[in-house]
Amino acid sequence: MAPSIAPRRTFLLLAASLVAVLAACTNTTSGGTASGSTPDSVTESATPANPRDLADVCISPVVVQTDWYPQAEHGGIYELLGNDYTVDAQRGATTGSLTFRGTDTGVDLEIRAGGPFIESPVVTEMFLDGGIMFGYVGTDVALSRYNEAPTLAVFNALTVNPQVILWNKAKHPKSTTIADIAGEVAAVSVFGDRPYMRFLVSKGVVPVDKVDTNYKGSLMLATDDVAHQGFVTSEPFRYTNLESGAIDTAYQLIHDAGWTSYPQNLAINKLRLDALRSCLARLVPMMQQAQIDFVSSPSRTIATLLDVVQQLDTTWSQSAELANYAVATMRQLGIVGNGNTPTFGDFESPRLDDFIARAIPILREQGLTVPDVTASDIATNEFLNPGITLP
Amino acid sequence: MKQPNRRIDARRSKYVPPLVVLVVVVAGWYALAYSLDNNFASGDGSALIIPPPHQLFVGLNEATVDRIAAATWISLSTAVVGFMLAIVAGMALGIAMSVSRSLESALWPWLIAIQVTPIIVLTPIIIRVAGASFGARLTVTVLIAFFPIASNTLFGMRSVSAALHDVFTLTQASRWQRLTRLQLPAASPAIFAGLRVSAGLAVIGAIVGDFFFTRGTPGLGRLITFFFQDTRSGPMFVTALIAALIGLGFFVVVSLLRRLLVSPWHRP
Repeated sequence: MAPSIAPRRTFLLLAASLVAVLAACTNTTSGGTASGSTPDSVTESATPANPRDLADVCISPVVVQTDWYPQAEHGGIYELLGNDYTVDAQRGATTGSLTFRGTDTGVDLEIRAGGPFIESPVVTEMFLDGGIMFGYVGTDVALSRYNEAPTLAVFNALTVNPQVILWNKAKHPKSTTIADIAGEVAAVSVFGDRPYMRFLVSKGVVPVDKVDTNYKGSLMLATDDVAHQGFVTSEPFRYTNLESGAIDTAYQLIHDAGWTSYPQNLAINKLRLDALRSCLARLVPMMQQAQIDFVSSPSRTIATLLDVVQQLDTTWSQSAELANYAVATMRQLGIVGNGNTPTFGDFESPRLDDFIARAIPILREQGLTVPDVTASDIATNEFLNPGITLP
Repeated sequence: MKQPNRRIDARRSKYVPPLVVLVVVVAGWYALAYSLDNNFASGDGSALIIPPPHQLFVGLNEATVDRIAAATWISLSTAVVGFMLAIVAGMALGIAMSVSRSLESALWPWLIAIQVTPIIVLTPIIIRVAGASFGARLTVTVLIAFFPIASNTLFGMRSVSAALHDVFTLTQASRWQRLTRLQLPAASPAIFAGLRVSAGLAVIGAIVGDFFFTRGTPGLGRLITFFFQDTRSGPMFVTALIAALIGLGFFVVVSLLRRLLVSPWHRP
């Protein structure tokens, strides 16, 4: 079905306008400046019209294609989902009003699950399906597909990649790095031919004959003495709660091993930039704030995530304990964080340039045709509100 | 005057039908590529799902060609050596069972069991036991390919007419002479029929088994999955095409051998 501009929800918008006017008055009376200290005040001052009214500038529904089943890493997007959402288990799509801090913005939000629900990687889906506005695209993927599927990242939801290589701590108490454990186990198991593993091989961290590309997502440490990829926001918790007996794991973030890709950027099809510009200007700051709101007070959105997972009715499972662990870990390890600048969710040019220089030779060795791109080709801070920061 | 026309007609009937099918296949390929929604919605105009034939080699840079060449070598050498071993094992088993009924009754159920068990079930077990080695790859290939050779050898050996056996009995031929001068030549049409089936199976075994051999340089099977994961449709199709050509090559070689060794005297 072709996307369409949503019908105006007069009543709701009127209410939203009132809230906005009241908020603006509050800022003025409290002596707020143009670069006000609270995220809201900055957002409010960005445009003279009610910036929360997206109906005039955004296609409805705003479609976000995620990279996996619903999980805490996607919490910032689910934070924007109103309570009126419905779940289409066949398509893996959850649709409801796009709501910012309780206010309906006048458009709908459709969050699509990834993984088995899509036939191609997210970046390809964004070009196959013109209805998708945002896709989760890591910097390495954006580089590797730049020729065929050029994307532009507008907000980094996770500053640090939660991807780790983990192992059984009891069996390998002296190992603290990937290099250490690669010297002790028979195999380091990863999913497919991953560029970060090629990078680790090229740096001599992992011997090439120990790379096993057949990781399928199982909790292998219960049966095998190997190291395998995982998310620090998930696998360590799952291992400590194994029915067959808890396993204490140790890990190293691949970020700390040198693969400093921004892992989960909200990116658009770059060919549609001009058409989306006015929508992005209002929507991206909401995304920034929503991610902060989620990690600050996750209970409502975690309940949404659990409900959506249940309604999708797949083999994927989540629990409140796991989701809370994920949020706590993301904050503790700086996975959700400001980085080296006060602005939340921005792309830091030195880091990006350094990563591009590191990644392109690896991707080319893989046979991918990667042009000589710069940071500004694949990411922009144009639509971010620089005043929004994680306290 | 009629002779040239007959030759032309004969050539037409030989070459025109395959050419027509080729044109239909290529036209269907183009139709599919251009009928898929947004197949060409990419930034550089290349196909995202199915490349049309003229875009097949887009993205085949030096590094990609090197990867495909390395994978082809692994799968081809596995298939060739595995097929040879399957011939030896299959014929040895077929001959042994044709000589001894008790051996046949002891082995036949096991051979059937191996044949009907999907190779994807056996492969992980083989890797567990033998490791992800070349030997394990060969084992998978032999297991999937040897049965048609064994069963056809047995069938061929048993199908020699009683009259011919009587002739050899009258001439007091030794068991070896009976085997090499009567039974094997008489069984060769059936053996070659089995070889043609096994040739294709050896290639399938080398490539399907490769999905499980996840360490070291990938063969064609795993390389296809890598290209699939990266949605590199051009290299993926080229890799699949090479796999098909290897299978075709095996079939052609066995058919030529059959023509050289069996056709001069055998009339089915």
